[in-house]
Amino acid sequence: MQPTSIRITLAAVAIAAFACTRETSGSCCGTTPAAAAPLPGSSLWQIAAKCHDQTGRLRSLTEFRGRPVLITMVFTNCAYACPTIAADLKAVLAKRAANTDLHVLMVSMDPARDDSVALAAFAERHHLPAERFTLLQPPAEVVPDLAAVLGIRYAPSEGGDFSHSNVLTLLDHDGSIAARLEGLGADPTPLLTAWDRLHSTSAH
Amino acid sequence: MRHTAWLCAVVVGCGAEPPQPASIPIPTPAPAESAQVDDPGPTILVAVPASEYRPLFPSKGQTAVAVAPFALERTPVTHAQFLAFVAAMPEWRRSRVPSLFADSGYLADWAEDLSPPPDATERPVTAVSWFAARAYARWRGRRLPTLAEWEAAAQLPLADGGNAARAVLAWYAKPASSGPQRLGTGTRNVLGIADLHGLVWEWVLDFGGAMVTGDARSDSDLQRSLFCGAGAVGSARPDDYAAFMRMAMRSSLHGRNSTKTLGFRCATDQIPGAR
Repeated sequence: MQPTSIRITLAAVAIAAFACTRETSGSCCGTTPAAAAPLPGSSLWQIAAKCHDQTGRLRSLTEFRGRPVLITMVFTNCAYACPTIAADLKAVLAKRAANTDLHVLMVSMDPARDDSVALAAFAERHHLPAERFTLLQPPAEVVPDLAAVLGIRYAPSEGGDFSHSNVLTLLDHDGSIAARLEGLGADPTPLLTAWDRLHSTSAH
Repeated sequence: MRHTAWLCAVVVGCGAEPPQPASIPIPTPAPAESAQVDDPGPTILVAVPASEYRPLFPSKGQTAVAVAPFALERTPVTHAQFLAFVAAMPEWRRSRVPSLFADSGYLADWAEDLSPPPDATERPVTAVSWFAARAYARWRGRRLPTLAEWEAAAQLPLADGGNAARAVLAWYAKPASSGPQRLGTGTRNVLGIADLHGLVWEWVLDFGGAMVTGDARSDSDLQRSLFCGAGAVGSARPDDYAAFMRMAMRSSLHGRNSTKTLGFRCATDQIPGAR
């Protein structure tokens, strides 16, 4: 119904509207096989912010297009929930040890403090290998957008901490939400079922 | 006059534009796509001096949140103002907005992409998502007020000495069948800020920070595990029903949601009259 050109315009404009570091259309890297096609309107990667990862590299969110992604938001000073989120994530991955296509993104809601060094320390403390886990420090103005699309509620509280909801979100190859898991230690079955479906799709 | 302008816009946008080859990405909207409409301009700002907000659920030892001086728009954003925005920013038109940023209720009371309901200059725009409200504010060079800023302004005394909570309850008791009333039919506070109560609910920047914690419903276990930081709470303002309703409303919302009683107004750090 809509010409493809308009859809491309849309994606590009959405990028311009939401990214702090703007992107030209398309992507930088060979790791995104589907990058040429316009993003669906439901894709999280329309928020095309650039973020530093735990190794200090500047990463574009659109780089993670092309494979399933498990995404959540944390802050590394978190004493209670965030270590549990890390444990939950590893437990989910362990149930499908043979599927290596899925990548995990942990985006900080506390970019003022969570620089690459802090993220690297968190990754080391919780044994999160870089080939599977990318920890990101987003631009501060993008945090509300990311939290909103993921349905994560957060508020700063006393002492520089955050009260926040704990949500794991599975994204499909294009960045659209395939499944969500709310709460700590929740039954991961719906998430695993959705992942299996994505995995069989990518195997074809 | 304005109808003519819309008509031209539609003709230019859909008919006269040559079809683009699918392989060429267009980084910004083509000039032909931005329609000419009358922009009523931004709403007048009212300076709000340093104030405080008493949270419903303060954390331990906390009584009030200090709110720095800021400026708040005197009235909610109107349909006509929002029309100027979507005319200039085609990606926010009803037919084009990505589903990530707005649900199917977005601008549902508009007949077409550029056709708001009657009395567009006098009625608050509703059925806009948080993302769209945020984009509008950014387009005006402003921002959404924070929850603390909005509530601090809403806690100021009314110009007529009336009771704001009672005004909200009276409004809430009215059926919403006919859509929002005109600007100025709600309350007016001592600073002259109008319609914070009694016209529409309003988006705030950090609506996601509104969470009901420690409640005793059957899903309280879920609530506790869903919200890190639960416990150590108890309401400090048990008598402010209106504030509870706002809290409940905000905590039920997602950023892409749009409802016909939910509008917004903008804020800024640039205080009018200050250097």
